[in-house]
Amino acid sequence: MICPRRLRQYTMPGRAEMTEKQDYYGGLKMTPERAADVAAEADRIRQGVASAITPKFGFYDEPSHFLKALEDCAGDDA
Amino acid sequence: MTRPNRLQSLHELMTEMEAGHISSLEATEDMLQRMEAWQPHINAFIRMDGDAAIKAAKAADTARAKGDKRPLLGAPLAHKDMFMRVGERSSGGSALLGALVGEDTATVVARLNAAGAIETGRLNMSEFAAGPTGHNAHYGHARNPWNPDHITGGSSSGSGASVAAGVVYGALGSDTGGSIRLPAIMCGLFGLKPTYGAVSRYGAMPRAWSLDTVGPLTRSATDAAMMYAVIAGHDPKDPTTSRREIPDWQGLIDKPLKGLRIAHAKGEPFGPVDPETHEAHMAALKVFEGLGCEILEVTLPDCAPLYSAADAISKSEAATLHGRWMRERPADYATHVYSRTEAGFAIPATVYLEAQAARGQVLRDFCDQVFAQADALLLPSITMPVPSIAETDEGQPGAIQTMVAGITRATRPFNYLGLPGLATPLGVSSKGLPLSCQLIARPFQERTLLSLGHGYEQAVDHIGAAPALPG
Repeated sequence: MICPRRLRQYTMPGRAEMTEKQDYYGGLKMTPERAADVAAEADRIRQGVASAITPKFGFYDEPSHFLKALEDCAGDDA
Repeated sequence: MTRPNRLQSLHELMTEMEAGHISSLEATEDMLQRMEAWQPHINAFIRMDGDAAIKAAKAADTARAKGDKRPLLGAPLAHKDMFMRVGERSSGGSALLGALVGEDTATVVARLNAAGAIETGRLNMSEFAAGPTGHNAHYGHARNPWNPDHITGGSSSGSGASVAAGVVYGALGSDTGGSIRLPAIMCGLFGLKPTYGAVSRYGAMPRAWSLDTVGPLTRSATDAAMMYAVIAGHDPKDPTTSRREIPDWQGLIDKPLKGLRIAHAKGEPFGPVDPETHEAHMAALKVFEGLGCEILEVTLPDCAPLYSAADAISKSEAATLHGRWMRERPADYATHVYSRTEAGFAIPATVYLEAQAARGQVLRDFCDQVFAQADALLLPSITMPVPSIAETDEGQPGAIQTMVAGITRATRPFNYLGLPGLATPLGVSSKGLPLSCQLIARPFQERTLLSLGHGYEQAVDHIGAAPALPG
């Protein structure tokens, strides 16, 4: 059976027609509270990286350095 | 065409088409009918193009009658709306990107087209591929076919919903922190996140170019192999792609399983796991043991720093990509997408570079520690039952980081490592929602993963189970 034409060419309604979560729109104003949130998030990431990852002193050519590591670690029949 | 309570796989469809039992036109019309029934419940499509699909299906049937034997000839697929096509618009799930007309066609789409596949429309996704739930303020939230009150997972939300509902035979998604595996996991599908560099990203909308991968969501591991065999391999347009030869799809699922070592993690490296999910993992390990695999336990390196490193790269690169639009058109971003990205502006360049510089050594150390003992890992993909849409409401900026971290804790570290992962469906919970795991292997060992998935799907009876159309 052929699908009705109205659905064959269906396109989702535009933004003005959406009723779901209209309050998501309008962007965000930077407040002191939000600035603190952003800084805390960046600091959490910085501490996370620093906690266990200390690159050895040396020459790094990304991304080729990482691509070579992928090839080297691939195993026998990959 | 489809057996009661079980959906036909792509492989089964291609076999029937080759035998002349069904035409592409019949299969495509069936998909469009199912789409009509399901779309109001799951909102999987941003755009449908049935007329073009019917035209392409007729052309495929004509070509087959003349002897055309391309591997996906006439297969009705649809993809996450983030792949460029020459002369066409792709939304990226956003209010911004739809204004741009593609100047070329993404390599993965071009390769599927060259293999004969047809498209029935464009699939819903999280805005700019930034979100693990499937919420989308611009096009409406995708909803889980197993229970529309629950999330699909994201960001390849429409890919998960449409394949699980049997509205298409397979779909492409992208995975930067879990965006193929999470919707596959939450919708009860196989989802292959390839090794970084195994599949071209040329023409695919980036989220974070150092982490992005493109791969299939399908109802069977065999189907994933069929799509992967077409899209994988070196692409001069994406210089990060490997020059390794890719076997045909049969060669991707034929690795002998006897003696393969599958490890589960000692303790709970990603936090406490929902008991029903844990039971499903233990049952899956029994299945693999029955297939001749050796089951063992390994201690994983601490994955929390790997998560942070992936986060540093992801946010820095996303902020770089979106900086201008975020400054000039902030109102065109949903609050949760804007707020998730803006921390990237506050991450020092040295932190980003430390995460990049250490990546190769961290990968080598991980492989030396883990894959010296095991050929594959069986790990949680999410540690909680599939959440509801209400539980993961992203409207409050302060709560977003916690929610995202909770969902992506077990997936994002493997994007940092660049390792391949196969989301594998393990049946349905007592609440009627999918249970799953992810299998992880060495770089470029997609063959190991797909062979394990193929062995598993032959040993159990729940693969391809069909969710009931909501009344």
